[in-house]
Amino acid sequence: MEYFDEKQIKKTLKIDAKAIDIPSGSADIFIEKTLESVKKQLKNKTIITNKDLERIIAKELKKYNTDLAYIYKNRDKII
Amino acid sequence: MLIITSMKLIPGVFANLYHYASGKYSAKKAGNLCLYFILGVELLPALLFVTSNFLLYILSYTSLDITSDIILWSTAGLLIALGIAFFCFYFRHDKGTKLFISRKTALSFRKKASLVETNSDAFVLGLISGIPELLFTFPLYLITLIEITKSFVLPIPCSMILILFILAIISPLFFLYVYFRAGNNLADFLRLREKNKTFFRFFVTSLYFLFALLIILLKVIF
Repeated sequence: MEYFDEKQIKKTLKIDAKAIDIPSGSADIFIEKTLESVKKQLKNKTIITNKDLERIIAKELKKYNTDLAYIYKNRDKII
Repeated sequence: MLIITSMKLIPGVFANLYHYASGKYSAKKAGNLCLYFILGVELLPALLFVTSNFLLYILSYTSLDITSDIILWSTAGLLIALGIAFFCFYFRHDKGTKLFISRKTALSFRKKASLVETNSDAFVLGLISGIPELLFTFPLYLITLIEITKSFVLPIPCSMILILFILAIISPLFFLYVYFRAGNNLADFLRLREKNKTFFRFFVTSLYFLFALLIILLKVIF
């Protein structure tokens, strides 16, 4: 079990965004909006599985960039 | 050779390495890491050919004749079995292109690819990436070495053929690197792999069967 680490998720998403050539300014904005939306959804929950968290983040990311959402959702399915 | 170049683990690790390296470092450094990864990948077939050659050398001192019928039919049977195993087990039966290796190993490779910082890290990652697939590829190296050394119709020296073979094995990685540099990203690569998963399964299985048939036909004709 681990705590929800917003900084780590933000760092991962920024790396993914840079790798797929999303401008850093716009990436920062929609990553912030995504995480705010995710935090609102998790407001009433004390525990959540990693898979559910990934699913929620990917669903929110999809509103801004489908490629980034796809990579985030499927990064464990490449190998 | 086509079978070995069609395997998915090394390109998958390479794609992960390129993705994380492009996200963390400059394009030049990401390119260098990819190059050292490819050099690491290239070392493995060279080592496997040396090992196969050593095994054949030891076998030459025994009474075992590697061109005997029983060995050739066993080899054909092994290739057919590998083809069936590839079709049934190479890809896991769920979404994505998850491979047969344990999840812990797969996640370990992804994590290692994301943490690569130096050229030596990339080199070692390239070297170890091909190891889990040896189940499907090592027999091919052994059989290829036997066929090359026993073949009598080639005007090119055996050593040159082996060098060309080793260089050809890493060609998919160069194509993949060009594919990424042309503007495609990891999402495009993943979608392409998933779309062609069934085709690759049938294609590689057919290649195993064809190889087995070729060995049988060569024995029957010659």
